[in-house]
Amino acid sequence: MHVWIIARREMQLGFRNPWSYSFLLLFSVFSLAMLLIQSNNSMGLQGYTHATGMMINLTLYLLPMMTLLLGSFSLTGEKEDGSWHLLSTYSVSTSAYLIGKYLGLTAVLLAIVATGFGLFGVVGVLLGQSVTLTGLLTFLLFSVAVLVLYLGLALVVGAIAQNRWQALTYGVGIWFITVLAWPTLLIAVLNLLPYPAIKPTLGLLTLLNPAELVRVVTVIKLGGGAVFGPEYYQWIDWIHGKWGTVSALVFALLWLNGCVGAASWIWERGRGRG
Amino acid sequence: MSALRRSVRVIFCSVAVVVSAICSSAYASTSISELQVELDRAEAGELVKLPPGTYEGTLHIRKPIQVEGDETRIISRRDAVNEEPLLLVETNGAAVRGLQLEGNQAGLVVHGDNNRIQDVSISTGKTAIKLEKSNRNLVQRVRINGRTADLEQRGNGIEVRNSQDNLIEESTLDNLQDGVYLDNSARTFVRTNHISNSRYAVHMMFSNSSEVAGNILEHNVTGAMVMEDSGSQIAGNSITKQAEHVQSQGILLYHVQGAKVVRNTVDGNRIGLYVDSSTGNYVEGNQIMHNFLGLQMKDSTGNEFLANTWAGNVIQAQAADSHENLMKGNYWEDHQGLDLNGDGHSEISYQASPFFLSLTEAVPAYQLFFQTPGLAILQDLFTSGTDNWLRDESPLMSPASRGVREKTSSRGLLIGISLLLLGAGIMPFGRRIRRRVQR
Repeated sequence: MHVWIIARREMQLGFRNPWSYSFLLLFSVFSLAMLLIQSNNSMGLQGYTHATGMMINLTLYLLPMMTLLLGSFSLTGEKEDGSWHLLSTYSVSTSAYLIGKYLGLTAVLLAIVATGFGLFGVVGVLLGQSVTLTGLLTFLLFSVAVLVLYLGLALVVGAIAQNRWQALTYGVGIWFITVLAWPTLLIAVLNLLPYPAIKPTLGLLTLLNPAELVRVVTVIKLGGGAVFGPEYYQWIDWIHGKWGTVSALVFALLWLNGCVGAASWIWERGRGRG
Repeated sequence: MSALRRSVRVIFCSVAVVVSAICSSAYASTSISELQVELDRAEAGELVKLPPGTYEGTLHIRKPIQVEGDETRIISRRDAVNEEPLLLVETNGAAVRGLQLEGNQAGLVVHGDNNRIQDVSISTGKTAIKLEKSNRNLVQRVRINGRTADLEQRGNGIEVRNSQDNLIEESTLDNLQDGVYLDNSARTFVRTNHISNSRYAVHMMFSNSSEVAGNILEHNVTGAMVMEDSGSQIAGNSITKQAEHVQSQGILLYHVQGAKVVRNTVDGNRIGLYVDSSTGNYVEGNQIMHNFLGLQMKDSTGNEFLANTWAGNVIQAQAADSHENLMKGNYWEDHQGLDLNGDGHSEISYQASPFFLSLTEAVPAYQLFFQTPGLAILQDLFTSGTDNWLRDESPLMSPASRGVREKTSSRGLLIGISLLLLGAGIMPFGRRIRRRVQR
């Protein structure tokens, strides 16, 4: 019950938050920009092509950052303006509070993403671009997956950070490591390991990076799995197999459970001290 | 009593007639040995028409006669020896038309020159047609279907060994190991065939000066596999959708010299064109599009790439340890060119970084970083010493011919769902704005 109240409150705050408006505008402009880039070439969005690869990468530059900032600011904001202290006088458990926050924020972010892709589809059709329904839904699903997983991380950041400045620093740090510097860092570190350990370590680390994990799964789902070469054919079979989608959902649940668990633990420690 | 006996006899006889009629429709009244006698009795050049029906066993053509089937099926005997084919041609100048061969042994084996095999359909788990030390034969309008699902257990479609000047055309080959396999067979012409769902559609080994032209090769592991070859030509083929296997590619040139790869459409493959350890090849006017990787080149020198269109490939080209290749006037879709003198060519050259290829050659596991967002930055860190990079000095500003745009299906549904998304997304924001305005 508390979860739902918190979630509703979060939605009310979220849809009023100037940050959400800025991101709504940014994501919409970004969607239109992707359409314009598309118009330079003759390619559609069927399967794994240059156009789809580019869409995936551009989305990965923007969406994780947006999610991390919006999510963590929502938590630190309440620490800063004291509304958490007010709330904690009521019988609200930390986990109910965080789950409520999570659900509310998911709704806000979903609205932003839906607006962006809705605009992409409508303007795309009006301009006579070769946008397809499957293409649009693939990117929507891809974005939702990125958003859901990064929002878990955003809760942890929000729990750790004392104020928005700290949250901004941590958020940008996570974005930088998981998106921009990922291959550089990994190649540097993995080259220190003995050769047979490289592939399993890389696989494990990829599981821990939502951007990379969702990207690899999306490429495989788009039929481009073969591009990863003979080393990964079992991954392709697994993801295309009957347990592929189920295991992805189970993984997402485990990830969220871990993130919310970690965030509540950190939050509780803060509560004790405060 | 006698009346009863007579009527029983009538019923018995009529049942026997019906049963024999049914049997004769499935199995011919003449046996295969009688057909064989007929073939052996015919004079050279004579036309032998085989009656409709199903025959068990092997037919053997030893004279230059014309054999024509009319719904004539030859199937494996139950005790068939595997090495024995269903039809064996051991003569020069014979013609075989209109036969169906089915079974778990080899289909048709030819030892001889100037034979014509036309309109034959073969369904077998073994090699369907084999030409061995046979020259100037024609294989035309043949339909071959491999029976086994397991790739390793299948036989080849048309296998040509130690033979020359044979022509294979207008045939449909499906579900085989190699569709057409040429081994040490110079000047073999493979034209206008449709080869699909096989391991290699066309596999050439030591088959110099052969030609693969106008074929449709799709959904195989590899389209055209050219190895240890010189002077062959791959022209005007449609080579598409070799993408599902982790070792798939459209065209592979391995240890090939002086081949011409011209005017092909290479679309939707894992690697469009893969050139490995090959020299002096000529690649012109191909449409290499929508592949995961357009061109991959390793250890290759002195090749020419002219006026090809590279578009829609996730990565256009990568090359390592390849020097002195001439690249001119290609269209590269991702190139931001600048045409100062209006000749349609950019004055800014196009170049492809060898970084990722070198990286994954050292550690194949890093292939997982294919097109990861951070890779571009890493690649830019390694741009020093670009002398040995793959470079097009004068790339085209626009493609020689535009690729076909994908048709957008169900526009109405697309715009409906887009509007729905837009509405659902913007509504909660809109409500706040309205309230604010009302206050």
